[in-house]
Amino acid sequence: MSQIIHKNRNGCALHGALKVMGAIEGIVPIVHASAGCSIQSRLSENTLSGKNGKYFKGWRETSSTNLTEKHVVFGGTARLREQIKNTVKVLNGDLYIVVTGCVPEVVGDDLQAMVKEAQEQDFPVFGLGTPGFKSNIYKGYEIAVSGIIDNLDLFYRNSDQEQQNFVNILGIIPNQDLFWEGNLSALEHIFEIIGLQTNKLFGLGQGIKEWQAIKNAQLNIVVSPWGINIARHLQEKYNIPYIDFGWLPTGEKDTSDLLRLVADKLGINNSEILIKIKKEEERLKYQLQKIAEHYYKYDFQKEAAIVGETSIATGIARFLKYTFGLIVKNVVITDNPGEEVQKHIIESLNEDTGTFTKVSFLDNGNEIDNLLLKSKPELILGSSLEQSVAKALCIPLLKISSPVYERIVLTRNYTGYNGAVTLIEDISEQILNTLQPEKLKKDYFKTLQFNSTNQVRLVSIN
Amino acid sequence: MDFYKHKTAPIREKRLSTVSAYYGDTDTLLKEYKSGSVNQRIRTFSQDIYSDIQYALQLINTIKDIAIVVHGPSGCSVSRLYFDLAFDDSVKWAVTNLNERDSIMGSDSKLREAIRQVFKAYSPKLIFVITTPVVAINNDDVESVVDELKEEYNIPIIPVFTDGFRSKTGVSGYDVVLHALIKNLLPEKGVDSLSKGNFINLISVSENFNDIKELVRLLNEIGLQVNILPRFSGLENFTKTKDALFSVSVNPDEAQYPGIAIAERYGFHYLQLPIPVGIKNTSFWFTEIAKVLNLEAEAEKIITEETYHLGKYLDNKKFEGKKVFINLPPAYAFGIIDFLEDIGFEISAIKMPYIDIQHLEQLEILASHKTKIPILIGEGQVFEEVNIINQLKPELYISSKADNIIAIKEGIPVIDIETLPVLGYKGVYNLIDKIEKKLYNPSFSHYLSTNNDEVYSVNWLQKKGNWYIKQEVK
Repeated sequence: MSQIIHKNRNGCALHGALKVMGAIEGIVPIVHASAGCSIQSRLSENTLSGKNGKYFKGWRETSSTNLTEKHVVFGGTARLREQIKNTVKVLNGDLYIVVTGCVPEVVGDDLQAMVKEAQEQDFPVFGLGTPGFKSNIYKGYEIAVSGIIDNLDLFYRNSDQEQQNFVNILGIIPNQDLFWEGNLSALEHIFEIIGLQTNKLFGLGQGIKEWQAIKNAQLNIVVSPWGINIARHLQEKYNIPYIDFGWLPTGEKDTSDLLRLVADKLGINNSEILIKIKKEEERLKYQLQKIAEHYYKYDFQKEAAIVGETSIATGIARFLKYTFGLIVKNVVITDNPGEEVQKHIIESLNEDTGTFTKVSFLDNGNEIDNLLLKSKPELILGSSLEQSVAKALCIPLLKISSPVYERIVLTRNYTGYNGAVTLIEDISEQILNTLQPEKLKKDYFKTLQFNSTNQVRLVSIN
Repeated sequence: MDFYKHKTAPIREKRLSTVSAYYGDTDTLLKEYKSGSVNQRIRTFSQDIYSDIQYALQLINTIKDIAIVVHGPSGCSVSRLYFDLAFDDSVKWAVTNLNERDSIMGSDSKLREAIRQVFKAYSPKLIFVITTPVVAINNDDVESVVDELKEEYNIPIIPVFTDGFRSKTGVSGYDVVLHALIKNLLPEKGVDSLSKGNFINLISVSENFNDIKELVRLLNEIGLQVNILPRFSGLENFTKTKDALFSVSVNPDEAQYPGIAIAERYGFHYLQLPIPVGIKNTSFWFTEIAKVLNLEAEAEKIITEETYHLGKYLDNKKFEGKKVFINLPPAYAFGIIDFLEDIGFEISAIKMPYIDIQHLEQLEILASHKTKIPILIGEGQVFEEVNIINQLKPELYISSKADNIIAIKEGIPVIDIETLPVLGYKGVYNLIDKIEKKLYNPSFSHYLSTNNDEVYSVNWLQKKGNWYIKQEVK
């Protein structure tokens, strides 16, 4: 039995698929579902993922069959036929993908027959089953990405099979990863250091061509548990090797590790590259040295709890623990990775024998809240859902994972060497904001004087 | 209304002949309504729309001391995140997270467990159970689980039978919640009904906080207290309902269903008035309420003062001939159109999510205009809007719920009233202030409009806007 989830932060398979399709130029999803299904995704996406929602090439509104009672009783297959036929007339696109919600799945609509009809008319259309009661948003990402890779050939032939000097990035889910666009640019920048091009697949300028080029990559880089199956699939189908890095690298340790791994795998590990990596490391150290004085003066060494998906929480936790010296007491991973991945995350957050980092795998908001309340951290990195706990504990919260309401994220990211600098800037602001201003302290003593005739009460200042 | 004997509210199409797809002139629509058989139209191409579930969640979100159980697959609950974080994070909630097995084997044990968990974890005074399409299709037994636990926990547990597909218009979701509230929370007529309080029931369903504050301010000025429900209400507001002098609507489209039910149950008056937006409508709303209580003179004094200041404020403002596109729910749309025309605006077109039999009078006024105003009925459906805006070139666009990206893309400044209080006299200042700013400096929308938008096909943009709206074949 699947568990009841309080304050559920993760959408369903349909939402995962829509997030993928909303970030690729020229791809037009056709939602075959009852009203509300794609709005659920839109509401949680446009306002709650850094507000950089589905704006791609202008479309936020999605083609949708909006099934009504009639279709529930008599079937919605004919309605879908009509919607496909008209979508290709109204919306410009290179590839149209029908995705299904729960209703047509329960009713038993014949998705594939309708798609086949459209293909016979030479329309670039295919269909994917993405009902929410079958799988979650992360699976939805997998279904959509593999679906596009596997079906693209039906409509766009690519004779060029030459391997080229670039890597594909797998595992970043646009708008579930709050910083997806910035993260992709950061990775692009990192690989430039060792002379590699990056196929980002999502965002500005990423369309059918980039997706066709996937099979010509030298290597796939996997940065979350949700890219592994796709990487394995690509290895089997096109013989492309992959590196499963597991998460997004933040700071010197992980970023340099990733670069060396990639360079090794591609046989470009020469002294020139090592010098370049060294130079980046020195630049990061230079920046962090600048804040040393404040680090000690204002005691930045907080006990921290980090809440988020594997890809964002693990890398940040490692940087904060192994480089920045925070006491990372708790890491809560919210995307339910498999057992093997869980073990790996626990190990990589407890590499030294020093402070123990407790890693929990939870998506239940109530359990997360209780865990945080009990462990009483001094700093939380998480989503807006952790706000109530941060308020109760009177501690700063830096928002790093979906859903986030109060923050606009356009190109910001915490990935690589530069990302680590941005992260420290943001954390410092949060910590400094909570310092007690001198003025308030004066007021406190004033109060004491006034009360001096009475029994002096000790008031704690936070 | 004997609706309340039934499990849930009738859909708007049946109750009010609501239409949610139409594009054309007001005359045709009016003629159809008058003939007594309005044609239901459907779209053969459509874009995504809200379902009753989102409307229901929006309303429930403002009720105090509650917990919500969304009974369905996990995805059905994520719009809760929006209401949670954008409006009020004190509402506790969980989703039953139904999977394939549950949908085959039945889900009542999970519902029981979810209710038990939220009750134990949060001790709410009230629990809502929101049902979803999968539960509705499988006809899962929600009522008996609810009845059993209601008794055990001794708090109201209210099933809200939303299903995502019964009605073509999402606003039915309000009725579904209102129906459930009346059925479960309104006490039967008691013997103590003679103990009238000095207050009225102000029926608010979707208004924002500052709008209600302004209306309460006006009523307080003439010494009248209000019992606001169901928005921003708690259990005590429902208990108090029966002791009111009478009930008044804020938005008549939304207040009618509960307004009549309350009136019938307790045998007092339900005063349904146009929404108090703009000077004329606000004064009318205020006067009509005062009249019932013989407080006309007191109200008149306040109206004179308020309108004097407003008159001075509006004195030097010039909006003559400015073209505006209105995209609002009907009550707001008609009210704002009335006001904007009074201060010189020209209405280039109107879009509303729905229209129904309650709007014939306003339709008639529009139909009597010298220039015919096109009217588009449908929630979302931006493709039709783009088609129309392309041809009409308005200078200002007023909407709510942020359906407005397309106007930004066309270089037209946008006013979004979802969070802008526009009711009462204060609302007039707010609205005029925003209008002036938008017209004074539209540089951001102009800047964005240079962005070439290639979403819609040229072929479509050259077609007539009602191409995909067809008569429904039964």
